Amino acid sequence: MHGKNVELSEAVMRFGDFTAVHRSNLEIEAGEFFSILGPSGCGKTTILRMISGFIEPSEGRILIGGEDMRGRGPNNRPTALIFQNLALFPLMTVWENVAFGLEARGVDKAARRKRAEELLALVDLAGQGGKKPTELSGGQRQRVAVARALAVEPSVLLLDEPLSALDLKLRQHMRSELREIQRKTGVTFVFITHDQGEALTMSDRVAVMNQGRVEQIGSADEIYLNPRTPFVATFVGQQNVFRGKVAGLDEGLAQVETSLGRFLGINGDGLGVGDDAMVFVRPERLGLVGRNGGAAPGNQLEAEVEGRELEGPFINMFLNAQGLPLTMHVTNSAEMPAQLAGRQKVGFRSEDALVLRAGDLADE
Amino acid sequence: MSAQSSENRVAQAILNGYLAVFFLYMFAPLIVMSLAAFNAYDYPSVTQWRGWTLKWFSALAEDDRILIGLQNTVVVALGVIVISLPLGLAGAFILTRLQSRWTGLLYAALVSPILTPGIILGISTLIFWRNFDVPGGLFLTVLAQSSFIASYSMLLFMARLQRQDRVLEEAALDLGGSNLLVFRRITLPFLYPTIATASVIAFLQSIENYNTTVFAIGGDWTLVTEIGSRFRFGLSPVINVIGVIFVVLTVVAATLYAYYRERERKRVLAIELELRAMDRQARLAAKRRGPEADETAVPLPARA
Ligand SMILES: Nc1ncnc2c1ncn2[C@@H]1O[C@H](COP(=O)(O)OP(=O)(O)OP(=O)(O)O)[C@@H](O)[C@H]1O
Ligand SMILES: [Mg+2]
Repeated sequence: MHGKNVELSEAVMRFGDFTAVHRSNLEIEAGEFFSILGPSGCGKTTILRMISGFIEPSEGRILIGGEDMRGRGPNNRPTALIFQNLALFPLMTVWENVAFGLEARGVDKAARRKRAEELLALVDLAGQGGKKPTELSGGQRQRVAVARALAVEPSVLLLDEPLSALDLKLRQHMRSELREIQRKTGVTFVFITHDQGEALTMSDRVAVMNQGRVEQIGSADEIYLNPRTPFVATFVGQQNVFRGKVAGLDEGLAQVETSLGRFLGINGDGLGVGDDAMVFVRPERLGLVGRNGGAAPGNQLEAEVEGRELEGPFINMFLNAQGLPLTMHVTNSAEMPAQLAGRQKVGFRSEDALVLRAGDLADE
Repeated sequence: MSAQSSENRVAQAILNGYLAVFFLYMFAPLIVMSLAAFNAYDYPSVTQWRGWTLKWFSALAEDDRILIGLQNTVVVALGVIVISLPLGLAGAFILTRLQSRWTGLLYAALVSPILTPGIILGISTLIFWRNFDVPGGLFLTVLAQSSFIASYSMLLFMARLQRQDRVLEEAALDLGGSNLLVFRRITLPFLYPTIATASVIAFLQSIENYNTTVFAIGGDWTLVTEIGSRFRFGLSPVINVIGVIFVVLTVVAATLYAYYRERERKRVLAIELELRAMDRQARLAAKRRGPEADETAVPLPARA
């Protein structure tokens, strides 16, 4: 089990006139925990349904383990899908649920029962096989769904926002559980979510989608530190955004003329002079000028302090720079909290700013 | 204040009066009918009271035409269930699962027997089968009754199928289930309650049916057609005895049903309470695990 497991090659999905997934390429490695992250309606479920075989792509191909899946129904693919609402069979007991895939393969009852118990033990539900799904709690149901999918020994497990129905604490708990199960089994997980925290903490790699397009694929670090489009930059984590035009270039840096002044940042898109550009700076990379010692950053501006939110280890400062709202994180150190008010000089280093071609932002 | 309470009292009195009249209207005929079954008079009556007797019960036990009629009624009703349910289910599947521009037309056609007068169903069944030399009798009665009872079954199955979560079938397919297995393990069990309801309704519709049956029954008879034909010669309290028996059966069935429903409701309630406790525990456990949960820490007091 190595090499590519799932491959979308030039896949397109149309429903009538509406294109739910634009021409997309995706390569998922065997044994990988791969997440697809994007806002509601961007086509995540559609991609999953193409991989699992409920719908055929309008164009392009889907390969699993190097084999073209065209014409093979969901019951003939080495995938198992965990549905957005779990879809446990309400009229069967928990163990019958887990063993359904084996029943479909003609395994006899005693063997089914035994295997179901093993899988239930794997997901920490030993001895619960005799219950009905309605007699389980939310987190337990979740794990039954995982066990049921694993029973058919899929080479790929597809999970469609499986945690969205759980409350916050349980979701946290299930994150690590799922990750643990994935490590134990070595099955490729394709995990869909619109929760960036989930995607970033659990995955080996993340694909960020927007309106039917895959905008970027990379590790959590790459996605967070080197977003390649304005959408990815603003969808994942918080950003301060300055709009302007490129006024000058300097060895991988671009100087952008904005209404608040000229800012120098990393030229992420290879822009030329005169191009419409956006400068992105994370709140934690914005700082008060002359506060931390060290050299003053190259990019500076003045802003009015409008409010603060204590997050514990750091403070969220809300600033206003001539009408442009900014957010800045300051470390919660002894001298910081109370005194900050009024007009302040803030700044950021050019290596902490990213300049990209102007485009659509993720709306808050 | 006192005006309001007197108004309330008036409303209450009107409501009570209404209920009294309603129950009188419902039950007076039943009471009269039942009493007449125990009257030693030769005709069903309560005004001509000749003293208590049970002789009409023994008369019923010896009335062969009634007993055979009852047996025929049950045979026909079972036959109707066997034919109507599969037909109704097939129609319901076509109408709920397949979409075409003919769906509306097909629906109208399949429901139309309910709106067709029963006499016409009976006569047309008889005339149609005469071409194949099949005479009136129990078999034709089953077919004639099924022609409209199947439509009722179809409506019941449609209502159920429309509430089905299709995702369950998809999930079963995804796990490798064949269409047959998915039907047998997922769809059919989901339909069990409706199969029970549809059977009861088909049974009841069949045993009480007169209009259609009387034409299709030929030389045979059912309980209802037998009672009907006796009207011509005047009734005997034996008929009232049948009525009493049916009333008793109905009351017993309804009581049992209510009892089991209540028990089921209590069971579900108990499970729900237990689940809530379990979720609470899971949350506490997650909390105890510590740091990993910190991300959700509630932000401290907000903006200055
Ligand atoms: N069978 C279909 N027919 C027509 N349009 C569809 C169909 N399935 C999905 N769509 C459309 O495709 C788009 C993407 O849908 P999809 O279900 O993939 O979104 P999603 O990213 O999973 O969203 P969510 O996070 O809300 O589940 C939506 O605009 C949806 O309306
Ligand atoms: Mg979805």
